[in-house]
Amino acid sequence: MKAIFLKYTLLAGILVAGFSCTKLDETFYDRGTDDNFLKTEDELNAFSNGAYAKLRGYRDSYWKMNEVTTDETTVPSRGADWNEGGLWRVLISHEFPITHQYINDMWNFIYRDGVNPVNAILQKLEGSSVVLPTKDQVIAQMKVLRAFHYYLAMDAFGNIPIVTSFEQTEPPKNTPRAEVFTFIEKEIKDNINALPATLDTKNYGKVTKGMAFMLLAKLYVNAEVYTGTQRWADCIRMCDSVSKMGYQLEADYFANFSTRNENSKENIFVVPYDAINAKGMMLHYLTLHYNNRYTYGLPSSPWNGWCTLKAFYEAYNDGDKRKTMFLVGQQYAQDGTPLKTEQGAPLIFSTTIGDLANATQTEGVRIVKYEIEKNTPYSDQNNDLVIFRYADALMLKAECLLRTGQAGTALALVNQVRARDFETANPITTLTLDTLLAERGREFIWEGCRRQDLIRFGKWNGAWQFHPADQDFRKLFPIPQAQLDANPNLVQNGGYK
Amino acid sequence: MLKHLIIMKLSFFIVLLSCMQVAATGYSQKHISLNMKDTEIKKVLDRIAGQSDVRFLYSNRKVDLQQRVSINATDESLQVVLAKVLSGTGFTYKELEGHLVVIMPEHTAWENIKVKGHIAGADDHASLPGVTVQVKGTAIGTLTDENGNFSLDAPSGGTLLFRYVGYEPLELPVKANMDVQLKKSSSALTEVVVIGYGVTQKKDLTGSIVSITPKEFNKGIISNPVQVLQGKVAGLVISKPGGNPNGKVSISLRGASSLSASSQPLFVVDGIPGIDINAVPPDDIVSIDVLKDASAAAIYGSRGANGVIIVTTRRGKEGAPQMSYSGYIGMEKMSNTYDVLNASDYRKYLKDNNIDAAAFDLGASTNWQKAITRTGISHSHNLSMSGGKDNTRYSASVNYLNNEGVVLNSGLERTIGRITLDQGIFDNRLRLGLSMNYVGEKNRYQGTDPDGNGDNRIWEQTIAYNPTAPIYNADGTFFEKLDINDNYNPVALANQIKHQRALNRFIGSAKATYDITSHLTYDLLLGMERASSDRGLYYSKESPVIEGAGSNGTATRASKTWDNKTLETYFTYNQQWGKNVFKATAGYSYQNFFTNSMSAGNTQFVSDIFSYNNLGAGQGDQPAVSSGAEENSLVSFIGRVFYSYNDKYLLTGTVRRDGSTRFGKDKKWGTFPSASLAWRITQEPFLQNSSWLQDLKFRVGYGVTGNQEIQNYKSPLTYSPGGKVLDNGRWVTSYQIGQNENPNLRWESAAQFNAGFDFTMFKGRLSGTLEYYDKRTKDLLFNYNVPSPPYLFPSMLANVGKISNKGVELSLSGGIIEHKDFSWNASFNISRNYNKILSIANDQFKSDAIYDGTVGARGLTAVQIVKVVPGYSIGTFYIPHYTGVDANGNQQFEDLDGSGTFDFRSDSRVAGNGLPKYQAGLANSFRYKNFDLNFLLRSLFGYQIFNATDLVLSDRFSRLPGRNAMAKYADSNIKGTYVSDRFIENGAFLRLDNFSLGYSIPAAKSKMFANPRVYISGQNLFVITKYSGLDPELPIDGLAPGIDNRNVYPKTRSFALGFTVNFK
Repeated sequence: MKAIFLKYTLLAGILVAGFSCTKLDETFYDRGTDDNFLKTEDELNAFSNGAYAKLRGYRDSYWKMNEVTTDETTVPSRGADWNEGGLWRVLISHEFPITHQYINDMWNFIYRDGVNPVNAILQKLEGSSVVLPTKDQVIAQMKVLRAFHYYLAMDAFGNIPIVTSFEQTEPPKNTPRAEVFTFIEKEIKDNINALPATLDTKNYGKVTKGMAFMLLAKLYVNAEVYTGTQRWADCIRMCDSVSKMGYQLEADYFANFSTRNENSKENIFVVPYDAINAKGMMLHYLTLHYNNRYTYGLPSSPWNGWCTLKAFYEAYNDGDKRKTMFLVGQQYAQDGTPLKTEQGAPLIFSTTIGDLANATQTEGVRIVKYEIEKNTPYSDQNNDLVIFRYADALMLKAECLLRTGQAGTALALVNQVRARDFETANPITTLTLDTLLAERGREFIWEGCRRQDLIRFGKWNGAWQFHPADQDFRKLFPIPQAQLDANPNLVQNGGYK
Repeated sequence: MLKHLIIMKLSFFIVLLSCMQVAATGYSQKHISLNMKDTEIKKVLDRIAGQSDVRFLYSNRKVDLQQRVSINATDESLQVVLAKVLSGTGFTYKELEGHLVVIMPEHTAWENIKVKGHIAGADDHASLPGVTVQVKGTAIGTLTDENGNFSLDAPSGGTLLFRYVGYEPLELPVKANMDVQLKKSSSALTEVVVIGYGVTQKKDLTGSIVSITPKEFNKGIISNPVQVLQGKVAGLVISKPGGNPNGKVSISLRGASSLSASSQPLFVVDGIPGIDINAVPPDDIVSIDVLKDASAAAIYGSRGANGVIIVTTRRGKEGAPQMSYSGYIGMEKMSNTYDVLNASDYRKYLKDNNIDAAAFDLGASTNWQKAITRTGISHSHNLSMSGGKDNTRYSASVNYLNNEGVVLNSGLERTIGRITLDQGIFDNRLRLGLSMNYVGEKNRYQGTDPDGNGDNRIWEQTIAYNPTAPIYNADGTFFEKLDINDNYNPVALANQIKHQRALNRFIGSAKATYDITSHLTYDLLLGMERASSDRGLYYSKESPVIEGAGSNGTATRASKTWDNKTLETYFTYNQQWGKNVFKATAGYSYQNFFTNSMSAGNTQFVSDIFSYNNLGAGQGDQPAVSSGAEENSLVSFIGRVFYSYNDKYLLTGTVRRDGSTRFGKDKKWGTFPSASLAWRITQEPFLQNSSWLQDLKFRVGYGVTGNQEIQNYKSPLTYSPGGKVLDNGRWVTSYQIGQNENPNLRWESAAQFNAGFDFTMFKGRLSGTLEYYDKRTKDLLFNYNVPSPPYLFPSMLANVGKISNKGVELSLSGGIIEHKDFSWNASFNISRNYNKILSIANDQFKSDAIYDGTVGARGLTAVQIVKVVPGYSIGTFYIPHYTGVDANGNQQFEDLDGSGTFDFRSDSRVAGNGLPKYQAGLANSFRYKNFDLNFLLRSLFGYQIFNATDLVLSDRFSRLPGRNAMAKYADSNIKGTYVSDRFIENGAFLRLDNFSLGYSIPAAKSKMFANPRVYISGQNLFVITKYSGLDPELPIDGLAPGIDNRNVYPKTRSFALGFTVNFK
């Protein structure tokens, strides 16, 4: 008996001791950590590529907000559709609530998907002992990409926080807009020489010298807005630098927006999309009527939302090939059958929009600037979203020339860009700031620069349809309430409460 | 052999001793001298006994000693004297050891007879398993089996004594067939309650534990075993919205105490924590113990913050082999439908509004809600057997459930097989128990599965689709009219989307208990669970949805396996001296959870013939593939001491120290202590002899429990594949950081104070519990906003907020009428919970409010209607105030901030709360002779519902005629779908949740069957509510409960016919 007792006490003791494991380190199977990841060249490359993957968020944040707040595009509520508690309607009227979700989305895109990942990438790259032949170039590209994001932030929000280290934990304060400008300018200039200069597929969709020059041109043309100091001459220099890179105007305006626009010689900086590998190019879904699916053989119904305003549409001459991007009037299926609305009425897009809050299904001009590939099984398209293109370099140069009293040269540049749009030549005869702004509108609709242009040309606070004249402080978006809540060191932009 | 005989003899002797009267007490043995004339034999024997040391035994019934005899003897031996006395009387005698002499009739032999019998409760006729049956005054005895049957050999003329915990003992003379009914005793204080790492008696409890036995379970079509508890326990709210056989059940105990971490209580099945309750068939459950307060749950400290539900299943008992069957067949129908325009209403609408009927009147009349549903037929069968001899016991059962859903092509089929084997060795000092449990489940989903996979469009289409559309075209294909955006024939959806899952689960456990000394026991439990699921989803090419025709068929196949290992080991010490009782438990626990998953999908199929069974047949440009693997472990040290003095003052102290891999590097350990005291006031002299109060106990306790139910790997910086990037002309996978690093991620902990009274009065006719609790959860795990920059992501999982749940709970139960033929028992419980968010910010994390809860409809996806803000309860609706319409039918809302313009966010106010504050349940049980009737009324009240279904279907202008709308709005002039308090409704309801009428068929003479019983049961027979939607019972978990988003499987009403029987 005693033996049994001993035996089992011993057994129990062994069991307790044996299983009294207190090791609680996590074991990772399907994800990497600092202990095992970023140890090879491939891993480092894949990690720094992540910054470009996140650039696809640009379309649904900065691009969106710089369209629907302007006279180019608006989003009427059609019954329940596109209502969202009035979220869209206050964008064109500039009555931005500080809690507006899309404004916060834009902030989050810039920092969460732009600045912060680049800070992480730079820290890992710079701290890595792995020999990476392209290390200096990648670091320069990352720094200019970060500068691009800071440029978006400065443009949208003005005095914004600057953080350049992934190690920082202290919540940053706002940096005055002019200082942000100086920071961005310096970052680009410091790194531009290390950027790749070639226009080949190798650097397609990535930060290149051409992109950096264009970014500087954008900085300088808006310098007065950002800093109070005009930099027209610097802008011209940058536009010229872009020209020297070898970009060319495409003979066909729409070649820049086709499903194969990676072949464009005009596009300088794009966000590449792919129906399979990089989904998200669904601009056609934003604007087309539900039953336009039969026009293009789409796999599902589009969302019947975004339209251009009547005045903007009518600012195109009838001979202007660019006007063909708009859908008005009766819509047809591919076989020629006239389409109907859900109410059974003929699907005829009107140019007018009556009540923004209660629009009908057919009101508003639709925008099909990017080619739609028909009869694909994918809702997503292959067109790459254009951020910078060469035509803008020419137009910016023209603007700076005009603003510095060289209207003649400027006019020639504008007409150089415009020439391809007409069978019968239809040049602009007199170039004023107003005609230039209008031409910029026609040329760059849906390229995310209209808000910036309206501000620079002093028209942002003027009245247009659905937009009563408003106050100066609306030139900046409010810093989102969620960000102020999270970071007490941030100060709201003047005028917003 | 010899020894055996002696035992037999001895037992015989004891039997005789107990059923005979002792005639005399002996004197010293000597020869006897006596001279008596015409004297009763009894007196003669008394005289003999007076002169000797013998004692006489006889049965009064069998031996009439009134006869008179004469005797004259001088110094003669006992034998000679007795022969003279009994000569001619018809009696004889027999000497036994120990100077005993039995007087008995001549020519008779003493015999054992075979007694067979059945024991049931007097009040409800329910069979009582485990009743002790003993031949009075002997060690001969047995226990009733699980069906209340017993058999043993007992001496005729003997007496049987029946004893059972919680019932009055009963003595009856031995008969061959005995049908015994036991009455409930005045107190159930000696009932055994499972407390985690051990059991205790109810009287010794110091924490808040409610024990529910099968007799109290809800009956009917039970697809999730936890449904048997619905409405039975104060403070435990169980909500199963809709009649989906595969639907998720949301459970909350004492309020919502977490923001993002799970609020579900921890389930412990036969000692293994974290087992899926679906692995246990209700028929095999012996008891469910709900550990409500911290002092009770602290023994499961790490996961006890939401309470613990301990399920104990049946194991074999000693006795003859037993076999029983129970089963039911049931039917289910949709209990309510949405009141949308029917075909004739719709035609009238077209006419009234001058709409071209040719485009919209499609010529048929279809009730789509009926078209996608059917009468669901369900059946369940449970066959079990058990037995045991000496120290070996076994049990086995097979359970089969086929629960056909009321919606086409949905259902649940489940088979559970269980085997347990218990063996005692070394004189039963070491007890080994093995159990094997297999669950095979086949789910056919309609709508999404509980994880959100699948397709939910059918619910919306069913209430939106044109009521004049036919289901089929003339050629038998499904009718479709695709000129209305996203409108699809609901019946086609139900048939063209196939979504099924097969689940196989094995649970094996081995337990060893060793009595090291009579005071010290060692327990070791090893458990292993392996589950694997295989899910397939296929959209037919015929289906016009994008995944169907749009992709030429879409197939997905996903598999997942779970491997859970458990080790529980502990020592229990038990000591009693004088009036002091001391018990202690100390142990160690280790659990490891490993899951891995894999999923693949393809599109572009040439044919539908393969469904999801041949993914390679698809020709999609890029088949989807993914896989993952995760692991987490929990390590715990547990300790508990119990001390009681004089059965009057009781003290329990518990501490558990837990380590979890899920938390930050230096924050992995948490300590969860608790202490509780109880005072049994009725043990005090001044109450001890109270005629009306049998038991009164006051309990008070305080303790801390933890919650770690977050995802794995949320603390460290991790790298995962991100989107693809065009790199040198090729699409390559990029990598990205997955989350902000939070090395401080730690336990969420809930400190709970609990005080309560337990009472039993009127000789057990009324008993109850009144309790108060105050539970404060701190370090709430949630994704809080952080400044970004510098943080990579603008939110991170962190421990920040505080939340409070306070409440009172009252449970009463009583035997209102107890009569031989008729009885009425009732139990009632009501609970009130006060939920309040105390804070969602600290020095590091600043957040004024968190918004949540959306209406899943176009144009409303960005509108969040629930605000999580300090000072208010979880689930607070924060929306604009509707003031009416203007002349054009435009809705008007109050300009609450006085800004002159309307902004949804700044012009919102508190408009109600979706979290039920009260739950009440009333269970009644009647018995009349062989009939029994049980029903349960259940109510949730004190909450509101945001009727999003009504909202979405309210705007006839944007819906009709393309999409259907609620009939009541066909003439409405109100335009637009805007979120406001216009759609807030009272959610209170009273439901006749469960009903059963049973008849116990008399079968005493049957040689094969025992206790046959038939019953009919009904579920959800009626509901009284002001709520205008389909059903007011909505999920109660998450931050935004109480939003009726028209995306639920329809609620059902069901009836079942059941039968149970034991085999002899």
